[in-house]
Amino acid sequence: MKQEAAQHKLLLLALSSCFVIPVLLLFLQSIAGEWRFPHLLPSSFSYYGWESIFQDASLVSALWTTWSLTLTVILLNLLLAFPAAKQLAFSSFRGKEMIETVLFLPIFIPALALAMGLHLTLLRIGLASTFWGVVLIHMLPTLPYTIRIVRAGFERLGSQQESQAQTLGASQVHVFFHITLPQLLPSVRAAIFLVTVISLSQYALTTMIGGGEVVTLALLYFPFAESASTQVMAAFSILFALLPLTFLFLIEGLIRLCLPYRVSKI
Amino acid sequence: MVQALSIQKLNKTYQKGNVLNEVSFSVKKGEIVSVMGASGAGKSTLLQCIAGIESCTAVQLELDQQDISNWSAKKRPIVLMFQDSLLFPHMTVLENVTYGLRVRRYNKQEREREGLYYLKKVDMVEHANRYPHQCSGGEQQRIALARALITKPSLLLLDEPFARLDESLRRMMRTWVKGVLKEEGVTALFVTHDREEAMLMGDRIFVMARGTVLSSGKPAELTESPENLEVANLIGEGIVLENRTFISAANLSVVLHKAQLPESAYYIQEGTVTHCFRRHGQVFLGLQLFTDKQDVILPAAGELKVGANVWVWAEESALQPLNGGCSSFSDDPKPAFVGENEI
Amino acid sequence: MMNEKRNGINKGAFLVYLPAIFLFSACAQEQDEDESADDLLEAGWEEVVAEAEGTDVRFHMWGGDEGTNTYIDEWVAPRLAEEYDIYLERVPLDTEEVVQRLYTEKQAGEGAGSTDVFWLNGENFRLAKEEELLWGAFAERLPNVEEYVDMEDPDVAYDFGTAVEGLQVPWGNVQFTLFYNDEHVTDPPATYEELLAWAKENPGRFTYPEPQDFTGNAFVRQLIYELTPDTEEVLTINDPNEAEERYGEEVWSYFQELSPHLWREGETYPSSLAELDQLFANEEVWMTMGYNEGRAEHLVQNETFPQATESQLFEQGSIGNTHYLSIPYNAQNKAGAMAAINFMLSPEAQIAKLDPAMWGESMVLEPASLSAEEQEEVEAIERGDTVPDEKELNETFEPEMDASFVDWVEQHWIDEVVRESS
Repeated sequence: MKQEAAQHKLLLLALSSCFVIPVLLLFLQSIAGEWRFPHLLPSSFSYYGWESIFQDASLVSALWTTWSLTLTVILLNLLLAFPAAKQLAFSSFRGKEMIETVLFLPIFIPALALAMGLHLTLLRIGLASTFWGVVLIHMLPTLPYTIRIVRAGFERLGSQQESQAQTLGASQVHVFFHITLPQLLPSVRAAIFLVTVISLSQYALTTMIGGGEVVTLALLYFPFAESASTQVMAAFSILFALLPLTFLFLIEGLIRLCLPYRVSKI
Repeated sequence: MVQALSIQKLNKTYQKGNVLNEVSFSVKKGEIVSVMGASGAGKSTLLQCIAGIESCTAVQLELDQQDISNWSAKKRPIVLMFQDSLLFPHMTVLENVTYGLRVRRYNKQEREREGLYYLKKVDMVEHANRYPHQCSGGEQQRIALARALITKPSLLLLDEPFARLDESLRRMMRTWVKGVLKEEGVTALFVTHDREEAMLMGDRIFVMARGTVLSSGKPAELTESPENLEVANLIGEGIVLENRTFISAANLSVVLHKAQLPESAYYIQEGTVTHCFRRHGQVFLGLQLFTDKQDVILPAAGELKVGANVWVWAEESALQPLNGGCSSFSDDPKPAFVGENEI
Repeated sequence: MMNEKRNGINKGAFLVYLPAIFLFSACAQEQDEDESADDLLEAGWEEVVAEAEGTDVRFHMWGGDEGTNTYIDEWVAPRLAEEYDIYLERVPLDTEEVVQRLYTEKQAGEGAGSTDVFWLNGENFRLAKEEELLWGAFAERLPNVEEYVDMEDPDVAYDFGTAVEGLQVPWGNVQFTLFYNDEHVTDPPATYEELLAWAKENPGRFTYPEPQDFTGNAFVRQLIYELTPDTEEVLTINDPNEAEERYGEEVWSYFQELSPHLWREGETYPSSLAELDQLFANEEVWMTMGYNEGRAEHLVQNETFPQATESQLFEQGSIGNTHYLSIPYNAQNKAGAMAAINFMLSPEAQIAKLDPAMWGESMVLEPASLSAEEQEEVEAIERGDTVPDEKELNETFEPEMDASFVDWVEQHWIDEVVRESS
């Protein structure tokens, strides 16, 4: 027994170091000065990387844009995915397979190809080069995943919980906030995280539809991928990775504040 | 007695066809009715239609003299208990039990007082602050019962609530739940596919098949004199001869030797003992009849060895004809009973 | 760095998008002629400046180089605001994306675009010109172009073989340069022949990015200038088959001979310049390169490259190219765009651009047209130890060849060099 526990600990340590060590290296890279091959640690340090990204005048506004964009995309995703996922999980209706296929097309067809066509339409209805145009285009690669995740959540939950609550006298709204949502939280978390990561990393779509009017962090960050300056790249990467985390904390906080039940185990 | 639930010509249709077909019955206030039938008979759908979770059409659907056919599930004073306890996993036991009061906007104090009262009733007070996954299956069903009773429903629907429990726990729960329901004076429909359970729980029994109620009556009426073959096969206690005649187990007697058969014996059949058991002090024999290939359980004076040969007999007056279209299995016009020897 | 990326000839990606555009553009509307903008091409300069006053100018440019970004944000923008009351907003966008979006906007008949000024050259310019995505011949209307730029100079008049015709204005130019680590390389090769000899003596210490990479492609192409004395002849060729016929044998035999002496014996090549830079930074190889003579300076300063980094130009010809600024057909603030571009071509802006603390890139102005004072200022700027001096740059400069050479190298290199050598 003791040996087994020790083995588990070792395995956990090994696994977590797989995640922690690269992040540490990245951080070290971002503050490294001279750091050449046989040396295990940088031989000098500099703030050059961090300095140059924070000097960028567009950073603050890009952060702000990215924030509001991602938040809007998340909320819209959840708003649309919940009813759709519920229908797909519990109802059978004519053309269900077709709708399922259409819903998952954006995963198979590159969103960029779809966006090309949408760009013209958005131009005509005056949404191109606007915040809402970009929000709309970000729905394309995110919504199918959200629906899929939430649908799996509904299927796991089953429809009987809701029926049970209804026969106990609960209204649809009450059932949603007290029964469904609390139990779908793991799915909601997963969806938020995925949507955030996908939305954050949309470079081509944002460029095309945003037309330079909507500048997100990805627009600042991606051109540096070709840069030889590893410090700048590393500093940007860390900043980029922090964003989904802040979202997760924010939403988690909101959930804890608003939902009446606090449970960790479901 | 006042009618609690009154249903006439209730229909439920899916794309594939009728699930419920002209169901009509009524339930008196405070009565517990068992709804018995094989799986697929439409029992669960019937409960869901009554609860308002499923839509249906009905000429009459009245609860306490009020037409509830257009009421939503939320509005109907009916609680449905499923096979699974369906406790809300993210709430404590107390929060679960008081959920019905919460949606009715009771304040916290009232909720807790009532909740603890009902938990006490189901003997689960010490579990109040636990979570459902910390309770056993039987405990979860007891909590679910408390959660249903707390809203004082006009009608409680139970959909095989013990199906997931093991045999001994099931036996215990039956008597106990019936006790609680009677104590509270609850009107209840109790769905089960288990004959014994149906008889034990119900003041009356509805026998269902193919989406309709075939027969209803007190447990003894149904087991001793079923109306037709299907009911006889489902619930009757006795033997069916040639699909046309039924002899209740109560009218059958067992003797060890042919010589012991009385003169009045009209129906006579030789059989063998397949098993032997004792319940409540009474010895029962499981018998297989040679000619009619029927199995029957009969009380006996003493234990017998498995494999022993016995004679089973009944008087002529015990033979009951079975009516209904189901006798068409056999076109044979000759008497359904053929005694091996007529004395 | 920035130039490699920005100049990146990536026709492939654009072509992939085209069918999609056609699919959805069947019912595109005709675009309205913008008459007031055409008037602007006739107007006097004072009028233009007056109209530009108090406006915002949106400058769409590739944003992957912090030096360039700093130059625009901290030098150009504040001065434009102060002197002309024009507010320059830099937006980091790939030129390819800008051209592609302009194309879609044209299909949709969108008259109000979001780009006022953008930065381009090469294939992007060719596409923009062919699809009529550019506004017009505004170059000659700019006073600073008139005064300091020779638009007839072949280095300026032809952008990768496409005639400029005043549709864009040169902003700067860059030249292909070899960088080496002085600690290990005492006698840097000045020709491809010497490079081969050096590689044989120092096996595994040299390599180049595969020609799918912009810089690697230029490195292979550049050999042609050493093989042929006739620059004019090279510039007349615009067909990959012809290139193969004329130079194929010599070019491929050179690289086949070089291959076994390269890093990892030529079995694998860095897939990008960034990878080669990493090898150079770690001193695994002793040379790197770049399509920008000034690129190593700040990498040495921020200690990415070894302190001993030095530069070397190929004597028989080092390819250079010019990059340009232009105004799209549907720019909303054309007057502001003209005024801003004019400012970026002023001697003070171009001299500031030379400063390695900012961008450190060459001027496009004719040195002779500058005042004595300004010429002194240019002299005074220390571009850094890693940057070849102006004279040497001018002497070795050879214009960029037609884009068909790029395709030719891409197509044949794998077959001729990788397969043959292995």
